[in-house]
Amino acid sequence: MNTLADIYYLTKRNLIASVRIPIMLVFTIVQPLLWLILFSQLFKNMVSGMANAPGGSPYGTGNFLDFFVPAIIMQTVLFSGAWSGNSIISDMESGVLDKMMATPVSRVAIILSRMFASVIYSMLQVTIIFIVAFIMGFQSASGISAILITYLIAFLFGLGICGLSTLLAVWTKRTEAVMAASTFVTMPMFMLSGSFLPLALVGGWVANVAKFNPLNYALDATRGPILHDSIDWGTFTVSVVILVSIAAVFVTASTYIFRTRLATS
Amino acid sequence: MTATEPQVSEVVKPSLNGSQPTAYPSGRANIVHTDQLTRLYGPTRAVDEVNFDVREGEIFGFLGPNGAGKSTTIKMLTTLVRPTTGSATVVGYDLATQANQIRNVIGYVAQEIGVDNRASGWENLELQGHLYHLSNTEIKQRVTELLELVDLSKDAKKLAGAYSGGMRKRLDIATGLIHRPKLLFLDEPTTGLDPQTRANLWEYIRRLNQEQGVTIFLTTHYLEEADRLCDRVAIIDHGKIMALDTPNRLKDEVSGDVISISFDSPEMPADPAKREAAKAALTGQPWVTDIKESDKGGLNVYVSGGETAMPQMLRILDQHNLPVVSISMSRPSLDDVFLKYTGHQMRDEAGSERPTMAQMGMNWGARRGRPGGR
Ligand SMILES: Nc1ncnc2c1ncn2[C@@H]1O[C@H](COP(=O)(O)OP(=O)(O)OP(=O)(O)O)[C@@H](O)[C@H]1O
Ligand SMILES: [Mg+2]
Repeated sequence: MNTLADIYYLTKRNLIASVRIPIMLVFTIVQPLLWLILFSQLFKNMVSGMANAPGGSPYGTGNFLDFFVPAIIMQTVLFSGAWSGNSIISDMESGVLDKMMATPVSRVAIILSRMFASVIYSMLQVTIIFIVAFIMGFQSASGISAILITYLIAFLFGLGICGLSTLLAVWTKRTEAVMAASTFVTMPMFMLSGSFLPLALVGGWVANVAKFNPLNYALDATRGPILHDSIDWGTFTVSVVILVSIAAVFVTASTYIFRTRLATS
Repeated sequence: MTATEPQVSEVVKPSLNGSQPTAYPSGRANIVHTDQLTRLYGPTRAVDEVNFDVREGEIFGFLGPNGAGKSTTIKMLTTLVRPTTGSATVVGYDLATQANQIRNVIGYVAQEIGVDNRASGWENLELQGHLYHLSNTEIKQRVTELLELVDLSKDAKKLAGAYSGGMRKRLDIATGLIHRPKLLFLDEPTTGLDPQTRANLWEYIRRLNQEQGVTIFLTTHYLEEADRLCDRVAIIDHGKIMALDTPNRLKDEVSGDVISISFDSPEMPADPAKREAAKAALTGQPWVTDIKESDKGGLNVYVSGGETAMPQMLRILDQHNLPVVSISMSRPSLDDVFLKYTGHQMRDEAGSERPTMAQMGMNWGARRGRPGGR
């Protein structure tokens, strides 16, 4: 019971703290919107040009926004999550962590609350992207269910990435290592995905490699309901199972490493 | 002077927390006990087979230069760092097996300020209260009390990032007190503070100890701080305790006291004849260990047992018709003590911290002893 209360209070503290860095707030909001506007302008004509392609558009839609919104959302969650491990390092360096460790607070709560706060913060970004996208003319074919599915998938995907970043953080205890390693993971993940091009257009070995890319599972599960007015529960289930497994592995691993290597040294 | 030293172990402390661990019956035993406590970092023996006790109710100090092992000792006793070998009990609980019980009853204020700059003073204290699983009403009451205690009530809603260094340190200390700990660890509480803030903090630490009955374990590399604040001081160097006693007795060990006398008022030129006569008269007395000429034309007489030596000295000088114009007694500083036990001087700023003889003479006696009625 105490552990749950600890998680609650610490998550709250972490969230309030992130909202209080005005410059970060600007970045985390402006950046995804910039992507949204830039990329949609860039690909606008290509997508609408392909709308009448023989055999149907590989994009599955003539409206570029509907195709890009899930990509922008997952990309934002990906990059935010990759960065998130640094927060525990800054707690280590500022002495806040040591001070917490001298209290009877649950060790697991310290690390879990860090990851939860990051993911919840990402959900705030998702909300803002949705709002702006709607203003720009975004439409969801399956209505509110597609929106809810997007939140769920984004949450699970984000938790996995936060878990990975936090694992690197508690393992190396160095900001540079977290930055370097997560760029090493996130950039290929981003490039080898169907974020901006349908994988059907890419083909070759990239399409094969893409099968192992969790980002594609996140995109598949969200794009379907946004572009079509029916939900493919099979695809959804596969994505959820994969993303939950990834999140479980990394969250557990980082919690374990934190407890054994940092909680008492 | 040593006879007036308060017997700390006799001081009866009010019990702050209801339940007592079985290994620690109230009013007996020591609040901290270590047995060959050791921590290695690779080849570095950060803390090297250290044995000491902290008595309930006292202000106990660790005095040592940079890298002596002060923080490492505190981190072991606060469960943050595991001892390599050796054992300890803290508030009656075993360090190796009862870490969580220990965390419930101790407070820890680290060397680096550990406040959250992005939370207000109030929020910092509030979160700390939750980390100790206090109830909301209790937290509210304690936070109000503590902000009052450290003079931050009117800045309670400001972000700690906007506080001055001294304010942040006070807030940090307050967060260590939220759960009414029996034992408070303060790692270099005044390092980096200006003299005014430092003096205030000393006063505050004394009050905590005397009014709230909190046992205090602090580390410092300021000789003056150890001297003024601590009931007992351990001198630590290269991970080993070189000496441990009250500041008074530690200084007794070195060379007794220094009595400075002069025979002429400051405006008059000094008369070397009087000085030579006095030197001859005092030489050979059993309590005189050394006689040196002072810069001011008088004498610095090193004696053992200054309180009894002073009247005898005045009598002898009177008999030799050498009227004394001024007389003052001072004691060797902890610097001398440090030098004696470690064979070297305290490094860095320690030197400038050494109080002048005059200051020590003034402070001596007045500062010791606790108020009787508590
Ligand atoms: N985490 C660590 N890793 C490696 N060596 C360490 C570590 N912590 C302390 N040491 C070493 O242990 C020794 C004692 O360090 P400690 O921090 O306890 O000294 P200190 O007395 O607190 O010094 P200061 O007055 O500078 O705070 C030093 O030689 C230090 O370099
Ligand atoms: Mg230290």
